[in-house]
Amino acid sequence: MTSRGSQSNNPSGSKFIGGSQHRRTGSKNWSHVNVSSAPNSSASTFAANGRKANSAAQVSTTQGNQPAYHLANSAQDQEASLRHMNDRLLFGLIRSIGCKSRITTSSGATYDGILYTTGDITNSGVGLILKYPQLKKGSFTPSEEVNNKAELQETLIFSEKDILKMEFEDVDFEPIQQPGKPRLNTSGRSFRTDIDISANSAFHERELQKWVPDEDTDARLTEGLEDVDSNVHWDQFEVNERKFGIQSTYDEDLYTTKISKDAPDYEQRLKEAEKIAREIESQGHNGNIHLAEERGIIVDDSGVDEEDKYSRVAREPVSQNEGDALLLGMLKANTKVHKTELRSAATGKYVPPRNRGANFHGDPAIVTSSATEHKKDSTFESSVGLDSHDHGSSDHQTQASHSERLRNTTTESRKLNHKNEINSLREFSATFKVPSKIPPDLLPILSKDKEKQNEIMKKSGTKDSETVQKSEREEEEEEEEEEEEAEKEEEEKEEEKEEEEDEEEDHSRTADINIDSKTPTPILSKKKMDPRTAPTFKMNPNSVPFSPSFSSSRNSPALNSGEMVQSPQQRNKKETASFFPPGKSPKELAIHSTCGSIFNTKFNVLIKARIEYEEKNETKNVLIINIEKPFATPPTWPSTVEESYKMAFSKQPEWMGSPATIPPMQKRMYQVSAQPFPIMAPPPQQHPPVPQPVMMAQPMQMDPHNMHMPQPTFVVPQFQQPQFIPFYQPPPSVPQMPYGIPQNQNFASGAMPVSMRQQGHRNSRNHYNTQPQMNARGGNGYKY
Amino acid sequence: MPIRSLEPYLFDLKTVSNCPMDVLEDAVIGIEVEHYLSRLLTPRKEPNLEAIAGFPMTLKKLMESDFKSFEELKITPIFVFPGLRTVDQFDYIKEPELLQHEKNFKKIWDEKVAREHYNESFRDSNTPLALRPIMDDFMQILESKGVDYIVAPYFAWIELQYLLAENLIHCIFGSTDGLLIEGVEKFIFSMEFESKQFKCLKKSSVLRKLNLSPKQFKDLSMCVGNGFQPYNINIFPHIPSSPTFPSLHEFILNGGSIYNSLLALPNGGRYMEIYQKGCASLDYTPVLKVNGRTELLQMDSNASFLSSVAPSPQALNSSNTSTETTPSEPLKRIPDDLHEVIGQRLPDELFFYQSIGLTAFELCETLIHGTQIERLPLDMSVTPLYQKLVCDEESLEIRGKTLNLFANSLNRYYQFKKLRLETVFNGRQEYELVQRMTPPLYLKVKPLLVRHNTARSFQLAAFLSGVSDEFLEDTVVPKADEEGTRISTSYEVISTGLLRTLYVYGFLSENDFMLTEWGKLLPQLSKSVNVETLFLLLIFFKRFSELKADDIILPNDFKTDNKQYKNAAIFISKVLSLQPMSNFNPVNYVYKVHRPLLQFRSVMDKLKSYTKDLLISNIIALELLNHDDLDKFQRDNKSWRKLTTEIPFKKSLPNVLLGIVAQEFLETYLADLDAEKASASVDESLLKAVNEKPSAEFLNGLKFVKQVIALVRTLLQNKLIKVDDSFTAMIDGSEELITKIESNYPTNSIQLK
Repeated sequence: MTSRGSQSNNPSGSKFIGGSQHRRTGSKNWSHVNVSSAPNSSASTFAANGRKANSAAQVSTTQGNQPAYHLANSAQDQEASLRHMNDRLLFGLIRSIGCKSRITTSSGATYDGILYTTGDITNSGVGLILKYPQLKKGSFTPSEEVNNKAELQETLIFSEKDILKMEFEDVDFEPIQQPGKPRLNTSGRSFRTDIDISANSAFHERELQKWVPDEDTDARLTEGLEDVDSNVHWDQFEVNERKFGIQSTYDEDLYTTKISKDAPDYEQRLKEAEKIAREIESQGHNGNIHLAEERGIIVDDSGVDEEDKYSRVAREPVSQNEGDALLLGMLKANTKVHKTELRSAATGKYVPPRNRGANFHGDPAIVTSSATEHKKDSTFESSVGLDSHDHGSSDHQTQASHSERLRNTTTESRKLNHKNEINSLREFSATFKVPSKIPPDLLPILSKDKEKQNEIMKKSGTKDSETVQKSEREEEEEEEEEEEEAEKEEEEKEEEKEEEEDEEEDHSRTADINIDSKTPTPILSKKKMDPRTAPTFKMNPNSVPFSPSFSSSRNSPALNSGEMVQSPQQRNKKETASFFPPGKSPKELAIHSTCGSIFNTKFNVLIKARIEYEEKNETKNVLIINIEKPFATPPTWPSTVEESYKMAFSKQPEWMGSPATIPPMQKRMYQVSAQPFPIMAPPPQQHPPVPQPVMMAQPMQMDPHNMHMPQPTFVVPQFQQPQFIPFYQPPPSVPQMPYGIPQNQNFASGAMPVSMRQQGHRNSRNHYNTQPQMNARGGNGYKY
Repeated sequence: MPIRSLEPYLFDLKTVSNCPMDVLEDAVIGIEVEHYLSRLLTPRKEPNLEAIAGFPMTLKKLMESDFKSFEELKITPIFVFPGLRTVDQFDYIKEPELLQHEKNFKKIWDEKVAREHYNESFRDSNTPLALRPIMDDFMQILESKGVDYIVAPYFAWIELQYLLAENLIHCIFGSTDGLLIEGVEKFIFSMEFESKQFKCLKKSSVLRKLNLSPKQFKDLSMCVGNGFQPYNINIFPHIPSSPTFPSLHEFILNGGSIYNSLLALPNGGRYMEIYQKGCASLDYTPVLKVNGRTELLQMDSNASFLSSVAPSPQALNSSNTSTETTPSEPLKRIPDDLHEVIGQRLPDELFFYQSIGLTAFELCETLIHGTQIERLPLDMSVTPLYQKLVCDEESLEIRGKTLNLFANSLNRYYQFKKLRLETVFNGRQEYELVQRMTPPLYLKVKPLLVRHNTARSFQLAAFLSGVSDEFLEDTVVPKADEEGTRISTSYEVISTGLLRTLYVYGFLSENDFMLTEWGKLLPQLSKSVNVETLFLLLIFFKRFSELKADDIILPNDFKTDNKQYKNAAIFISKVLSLQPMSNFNPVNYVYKVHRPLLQFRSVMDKLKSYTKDLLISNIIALELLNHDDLDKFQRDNKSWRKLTTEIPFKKSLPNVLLGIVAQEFLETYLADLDAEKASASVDESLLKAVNEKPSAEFLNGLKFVKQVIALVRTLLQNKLIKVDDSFTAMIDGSEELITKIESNYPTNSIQLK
């Protein structure tokens, strides 16, 4: 909090540079800044508080400009350290803003107040503005004192020449920590992303101007592709031949697969392809305009510039990023216990390269090799069905009650994860092929046992699926340690599975792997396999440890928030079902046929009157019916109570409860408000309201030529930027107030009776003023 | 207008969800027209629309393709137009400073004038396309497609809320304003037929995502401005830029309170009032109900419409609601000063005419709010001619007469209310409007009643060709008092209205209803290629019977060295800017624009809207009197709408494209008087995107110019207008020029493709 005085920094005793001194004053937190009016003054100015010394300093300043001072080195030094001292002074001053201060003027008077702002540091010192000044000690001349007492206003401006001494209380010289905004960390130690870096630079964009061609520019240059008449046929081959005589041998079939439209299953396959295409397209583009465009969806991209559309990194809201962030955090922790998720349902997200490895090692093949396998496989077919079924119902619960869903998700997500693994396992086994025979030199690696080696060789030659198992085994060995852990988990899962399996026992099992699992081969069977059979295997130290995901997936935010689990299609289905409230969908509520006539004959006073007339008089041929005369309609609307619409609005400030439940996405926003705001506390009477930095934008009464806005602390909040609140940390002793707390207490003094509104009294503004105590009728049910 | 600056924010926060279009199969969808338009004509589309004015060139095609998609999905659209402005909305356009969109317009005009290819749009997210000028054209399209529409008494959204609550529609397609509406949980925000998807907003999830309570959301929306309350209230007076939705959202999430900030505003009384009115209009805006009443949602009056039973609607309404509200819905307190929120009340019958499109919004608003507001026209500048047209004495007089006719059958309060005209052109100026006349003008025009045995639907040319003294003697009659001389067809209703309009304009003599010298010219008009515009020009010359060439010529941006024909060329292009192209491609016009052409069009457009107001006042006065129209109680809404679409002067004037073509052509032509070259250069220019052969359109349009010249000649012969020498020279020059150009072309080559 205290910096050393400039004395010690003074390079040469003869010249004193800098005009400020901060020195420790014992336990009391006062920092004294004695500003001499001339930065170049001699050391004697330092202690001098009198006018005399100042003027002496002035003299020396003027002398300072004489050639005698123009020794190159010393002048440079002097300049540099002068700047340095100025910076320090400025720093001190800025930090003192908002602090209690005591200013002694050259007339001898002492003022207490709160430092509001300072002027530029000029050669003659620095000007100050105090808020809520109080005269502590009168001046030497009594007449001035009288004046001061009489005229003390909210702000008091000291010009630099009047200031002898300034003291500030409780100045905090600690670097400002911005909680919740590590991105502003300027220490450079921690990792900084592009955003962090760019956020700091005071970069001002120029307004980009569209290129406009000169008048004489060839029109062909400015025309767009769209401008060209689309009717003109352009055949590059034809032109090429005509112009250059080149005959093209281009054949489209060389570059693409020819679709045989005669194939017997062409129709069926076409349908299937269309179905898949539809599925992909119906997934929505999640607001990604570029994606939408690529899919041929015409979106309204007005207001989106090219950068946003094509090149910018998508800035997802926090909620969407949370999964990734968590993943990253877990990776950093890199503990054995931690498990990455396998191919969870919420895939499709970006996975960092390191993590891809994790996914690879979570390959289903490993899972397959466990003893419990056949059962899982047998449940596969059914589990898909169950899966979607579960979701359908849970989605309804989502709407019904959030909490219930949360309870479900634990088990649900576990199941789901499990199923997904099996699912991917299936895929894997179906597609995996080792195209050639296993090289003989690989055999010893795979197994030392001759018998086994033979078996392997035989299998690789005959059965693809067994090759699969072999390759599985490689990984198996690689990961055996982890697998033991996994096994335990698997067993847990198994129990859960059992019920489902029973139902599906007789399900037809077509996949090869099922057969294998029924008659476990030595390789496949984990129980029979000896871990020591492959001691020579080189582990890859860089490989990310295999980590079965069962337990971790339970905690995975992605899986826990039910919405994330849903595929877009599922979500669509859900919304489809619930876009119309129950009973109001077009199917259930058939307006279609009737609405035409409703809009033709209803909404019509005249027809209604006629019908009414005919009902009453039973005569159909009267053409002019005496209806309600238009002039009978008064210019006022019917009412039920004799009170103004303004009664619904309280004249008291509304009470803002502390923000209750904060959804995760809002965390970022709430960090800034973590410190308690005295939201609705009545304006503190004892403390004068703190000058808020934003106030600086108001025109101030000050010497225009020497008052500048002191620099960076005073940021007028840019309202276009999403974050603007925490730009100012008040010193602890001063209560902070939110914006908009009424500082005028006119509403609090309203004991005036409610003047009932008079008929015909149309001037609403007067009306407003005559009813200051609306809150008296708090219970009328209209209260906002 | 949607909630300001909310829309992109919602997209950022991904609160907009997609649904497949099939869901909407068989649905009846209520569509907020303003929002629909803003979705169709985003700022990027037709960037020069406001510079050439008129009905958007691409709109019809876009609508047709939408209707086709609706048909495929068996969707029934119901279009809901917004109605009168409420107090907050009206006060907003009364502001003496330039409004946000006007500043924007000015800025873009400056750019466009300075740089020829400046194709920035006048519209932005806060300045959607102005609906009112093209509303009648829009209705005509709907009418021709057999699509139902309705004009709400005030806010379209509140009417939609009612329709939904009454199960008359399945869902709503509307702007973000809908998030403020109670009882509407979800609504369609945009439809993408190509991708077979629509975007919808779900209120609860939006609020959840924003972490705002409904009250906080409402306060915030009222603060940034929305369709119900257009002001952007700056609750932080020390910050120069006005708050946006995201910034205030941040403020609230950090514990701020909009309401408290409003309370604490120094001199915040006015802002508080705006806020309160905005909130109150959400709760208390009247809607047009199925039974024909225009009343609050909370009310449910079963009062009779027959005059014998209804002593006073007010007494009835209040007694009815107290007795008839169902117990399930507790009686809502309805304050007694709603006229300060939504404006003074007009009779239900008038709201019915409004609902089918027979309305003069400006007249209603002048009566309700006591002020007629004239702001800058589209070109953002005021020519002397425009100024004269709006506020010279004759204008004020005709406007007073129009209002007298309109208020004739209304409450006496309106007949004697003090009205004024406020122009906010360059600072505010006030004029007094006098609609108080004794005896009322209506008594004078009452004998004019056109009866026709055969004609059913109205056509302006047919009507004008038949106007003669004999015709007047036959049809216009003291016989109107006799029983049996009543009217019923559209032709009769509209002709009667038009004849009375002619009377007010002085085409008929004051007392004996004979044609005046001016009136005798009317049959001549009927042969024109563009009867309505020529008629309008006749009214124009009637209004400005002393003209100088400079009135027409200035301002201009015509570039030529040819002194001899310069004025003539300007005259021709300005006249042609009132003439539509016979056909054009629906394209985004991005070529040159000429502000002076638009300025001339603005004058004619204003004149047209005044004429239309007068005509509609006459028709409404006729109907409200409930005496002459035999079919009044027989027509269903469809026939009413058909009648309305036949009324002349309702369609907006065409865009000034033909004027631009003319100016392009003549600028080249005057250089070396080579018509071939001029047509080639016009046909090669970017104008060809609009029409394959713009030069042919121009040559064809010259017919109209010749008719205008003929009209002027007749006027001069009959000494009906006084002009200066250069005006005569201009007319002569134009004639010569046209002959010259046409002589280059054998007549058979001037054929449209």
